[in-house]
Amino acid sequence: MISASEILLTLFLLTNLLLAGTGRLPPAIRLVAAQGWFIGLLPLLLWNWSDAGAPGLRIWTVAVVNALVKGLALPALLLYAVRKVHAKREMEPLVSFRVSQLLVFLIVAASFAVGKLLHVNEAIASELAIPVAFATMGTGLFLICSRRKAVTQVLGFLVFENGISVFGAGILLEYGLVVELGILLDVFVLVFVLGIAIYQINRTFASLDTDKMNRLGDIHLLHHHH
Amino acid sequence: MNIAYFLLALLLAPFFLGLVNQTKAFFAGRRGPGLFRLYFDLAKLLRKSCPRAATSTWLFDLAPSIALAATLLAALVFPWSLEAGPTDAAHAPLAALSSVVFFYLLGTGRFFTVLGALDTGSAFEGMGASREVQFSALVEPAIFVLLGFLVLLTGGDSLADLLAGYQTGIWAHHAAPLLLAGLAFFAILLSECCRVPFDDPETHLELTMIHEAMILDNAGPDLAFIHYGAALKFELLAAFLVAMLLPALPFASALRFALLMGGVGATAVAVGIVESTLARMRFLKTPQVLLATLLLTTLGALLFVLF
Amino acid sequence: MQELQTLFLVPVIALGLAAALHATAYLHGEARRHQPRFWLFFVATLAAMAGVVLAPGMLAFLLAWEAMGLASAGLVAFENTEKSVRKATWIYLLACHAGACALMLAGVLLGRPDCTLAAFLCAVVGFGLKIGFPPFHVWLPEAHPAAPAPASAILSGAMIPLGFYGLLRFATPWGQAPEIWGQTPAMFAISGWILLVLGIFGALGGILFALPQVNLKKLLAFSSVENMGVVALGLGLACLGTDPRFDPRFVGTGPQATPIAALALSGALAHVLNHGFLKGGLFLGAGSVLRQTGTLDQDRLGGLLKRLPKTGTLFVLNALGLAGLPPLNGFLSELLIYLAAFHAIRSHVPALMAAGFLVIAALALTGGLAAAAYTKAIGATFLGESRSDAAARAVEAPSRMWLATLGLFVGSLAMTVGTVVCARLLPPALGIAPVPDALLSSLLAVVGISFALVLLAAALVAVRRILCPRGRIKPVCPTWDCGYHAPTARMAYTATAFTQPLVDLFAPLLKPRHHLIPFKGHPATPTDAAFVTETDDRALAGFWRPVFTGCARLFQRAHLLQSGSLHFYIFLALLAVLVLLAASLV
Repeated sequence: MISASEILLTLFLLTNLLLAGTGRLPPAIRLVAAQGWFIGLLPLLLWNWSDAGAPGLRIWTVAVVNALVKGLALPALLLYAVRKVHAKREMEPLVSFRVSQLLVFLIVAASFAVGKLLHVNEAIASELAIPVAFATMGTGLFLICSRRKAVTQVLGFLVFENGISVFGAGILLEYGLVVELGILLDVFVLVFVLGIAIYQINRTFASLDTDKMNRLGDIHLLHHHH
Repeated sequence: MNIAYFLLALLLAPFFLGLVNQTKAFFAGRRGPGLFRLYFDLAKLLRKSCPRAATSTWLFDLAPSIALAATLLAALVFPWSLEAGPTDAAHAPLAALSSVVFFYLLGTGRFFTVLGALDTGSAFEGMGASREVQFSALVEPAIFVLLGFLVLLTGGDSLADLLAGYQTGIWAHHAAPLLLAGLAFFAILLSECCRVPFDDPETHLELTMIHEAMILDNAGPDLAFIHYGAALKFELLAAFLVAMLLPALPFASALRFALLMGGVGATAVAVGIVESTLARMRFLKTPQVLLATLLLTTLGALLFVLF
Repeated sequence: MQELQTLFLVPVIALGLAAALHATAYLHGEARRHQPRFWLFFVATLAAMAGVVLAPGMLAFLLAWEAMGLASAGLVAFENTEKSVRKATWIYLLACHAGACALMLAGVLLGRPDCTLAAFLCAVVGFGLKIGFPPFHVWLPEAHPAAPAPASAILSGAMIPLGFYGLLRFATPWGQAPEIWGQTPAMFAISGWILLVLGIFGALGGILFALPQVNLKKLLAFSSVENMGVVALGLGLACLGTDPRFDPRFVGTGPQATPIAALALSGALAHVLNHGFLKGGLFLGAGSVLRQTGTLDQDRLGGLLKRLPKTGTLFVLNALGLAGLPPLNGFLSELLIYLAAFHAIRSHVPALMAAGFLVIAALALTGGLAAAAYTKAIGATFLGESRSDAAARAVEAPSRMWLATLGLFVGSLAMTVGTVVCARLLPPALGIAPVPDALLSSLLAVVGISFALVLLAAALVAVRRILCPRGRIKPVCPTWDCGYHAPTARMAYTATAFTQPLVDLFAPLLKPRHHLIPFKGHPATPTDAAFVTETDDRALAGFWRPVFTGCARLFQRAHLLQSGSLHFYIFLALLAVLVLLAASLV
């Protein structure tokens, strides 16, 4: 099963690279959904089936909850939000997609270097998990920094959280899952709130450009919009 | 022995393009032109005459023949029996250099196809040629980094070593880099063979063509040479992909060859499925995807070195 | 050493003979009283180049080097009635002298074991100014279009590589002072990486800037930068491959040695020869085009293969070779460098692996872009329809011109086997482990494949001839233009249009400038409109101009001292003496 989890983690890396190069919102959301499904599958693939027998109820629960929440519920919510607000469906990057892809590649390469330096051999389920986790978190942060839309930043945040999940699945197979569920709840609430917020912001300002929201500090502008 | 496989492969080449088209027909709910359509087309074209535009010169006349010669030689260099090591007597003299020679021969073929297109002076053929050199220039580094990765993986020299020189266990330990390399080469195959999403072999509008635009003026035996060369190139690159992903197989060489051809058939079906489900990409988007193939192969090599 | 000297003399002699033959026809249009000036500088340049190669010591070498620069400047300045030629000569002279300064400094530092790195850097700058490592390549794209074509052929094919001769002889472990390098083993890695990085910048930068050029000779000049970059890649890999600190299995001389250095070095040096023959032929061809049409602007040429069939055919073949494609010689030397890189990757030494991957990626991208640049040069100049009257009226060049090019092409053909000979002879001559016999025979097999390609192509052409006999091949119609019935030459793709997608892709690096001259007047009777794209050398505008204006500004400050008052000058002299005294006391 080592091999299967490696393939899964590689696909995970690919979704990161694709996310950096994707220009439209719905495919990007679907890519994040795919990441959710991968995270659901990951604990099952990392499980040492031959030695430890079938995994317990807790593992199954986490897998199913992760897949449902991250792979189904949150993406559906985001897709709904995007459709509802008729947001322009492009990502509006601050740096071009080509450069984004190159930068994410550099982030991935750097994470491999870091993962190699860390040498956390104890309790580690897959050698690839740590660098992939770092790379995913890096990609998430990069998306938050480099994209203009509020929806995209939510996506970036989700990707970042996915990175934490991979980290948890890779390192703390037993106890991490509980913590993991806690974080998941946080994220769920956050994305839910943001999903509603996006709708409300759009109704108020007719725009989802966070650059424009920066100007909210200016009281005149606020009045102007009202 | 390899010569026999080589001849068999030459014979089979048009079949695989038929397989692609038949797959596409299946997805579109049509009956399709049949698996052997290209054979009939080639036979028909060989009987026709070659009219040529008043603008063109000897270069236009000779280009298809030279391009086909280069592709045929590349096929001769290819290790059809998938036998690694020095036992492969037919290729022993070329051994260490066959991998680079293989891809550069395909490059010579393209060089002359492009010149043949430019020789007509047609705006459309100039446009197709321009796009062709752009995309192939961007694919080249990905191909050679991939070769470097295979050298790293197998420690071998020749194409035979690189493609068939590693043991089954590698898939268990180095699945990730192999997967990345396979994906990247599949994209390279689609780009080099002018398939969707990079080019559309069935488009009717000159402005959206690449390969088809370059050969608008060709007819008769020249067109037959070009079509056959394209089919052979597809078979070659698909065989490269399959052989790269398959570990060394402990079978008789005939069985290995059969497996290889089966893999090429599967690749053809996969290409057909891709073409049925994907739209062709905007030209401006293409360089980004080709850059991604380079990144993928580099990442694969990096993964292999580090883990 | 003798082998090295022979190797660098071959292009000097071969190109000298061919260029002389070509020049007898090329100069035909010039006034008779100007011709002796050309021949004076021509012969002086050749003699100085031979002197550089054969110089017994550093001093003689430097003298010959300086003479070579001055004599060739006379060649560049031949058509000195034009302003652009005078400007190019000026830049060239500056580059020559700056190089000579750096070389003198290198000569002083060379013998001292504690100054190996400084000496190497000075040598890289000094010789790099001749070779054209970026950003020192500025004179190449200026001087080559300015000089008469036979002179460009010598400059590009034989003189530029002499920089590598100097570098090899004075600043590498294979030259005159190997023991000094033995004392500082870190130098192998440092020099290797320096050459490798210069090579990557040279190869990629050269070919990227060659792509958008519409002046044929400027394109060829940038392509020389590219090819010298390829040579530097090989040399850099060879330096890394002989690093004594690595596992001796990879660098040593034993029977198990992996021939990284041998392959890389012989590939690099064979590429010098291959590039010399091919590029010489291309420059002579460009000269014939200029003589027969009066322009080198590819956007105004076209269709010349019909009108200059021999010149055109030779140009196509030479360009195929220089794009590094089989069956010609340019491919074989690049193949040797590829092979060295594969061996470096297989060594599992991290530094060598990284270098190997870099070399492979750079060579592959360069190869792809070179194919684009040369198909453009051929297509825009020789294929399609003529885009100007001058091109449409052109006739075949005088036989001496194409015979000279043919002679060089025969040299290129000989170099297919010659490259293998280089791989056999050069490494032992320079004290490196030889290339294994098995590899040499596979190289010969590649030469065989090249012959097979020619034969197979000939066979297919024969088959085609049988299938459609000559009588049935008729130029029946204009080319396909979407059913349009009155196509004109202006509809064909121009040189600029052909490379536009690639140039746009690399626009952040190339910074092409667009000029649009829009329609004027009444819409019914508009004036001519035009759209022009130009790509200038970034090193000149982006690097050297700021450097020189900065220097000028700095020296302006010194103007304060130039008051014109004698008292003040005496005071300054006094001050200087006092400061020196104080310094000597401390």
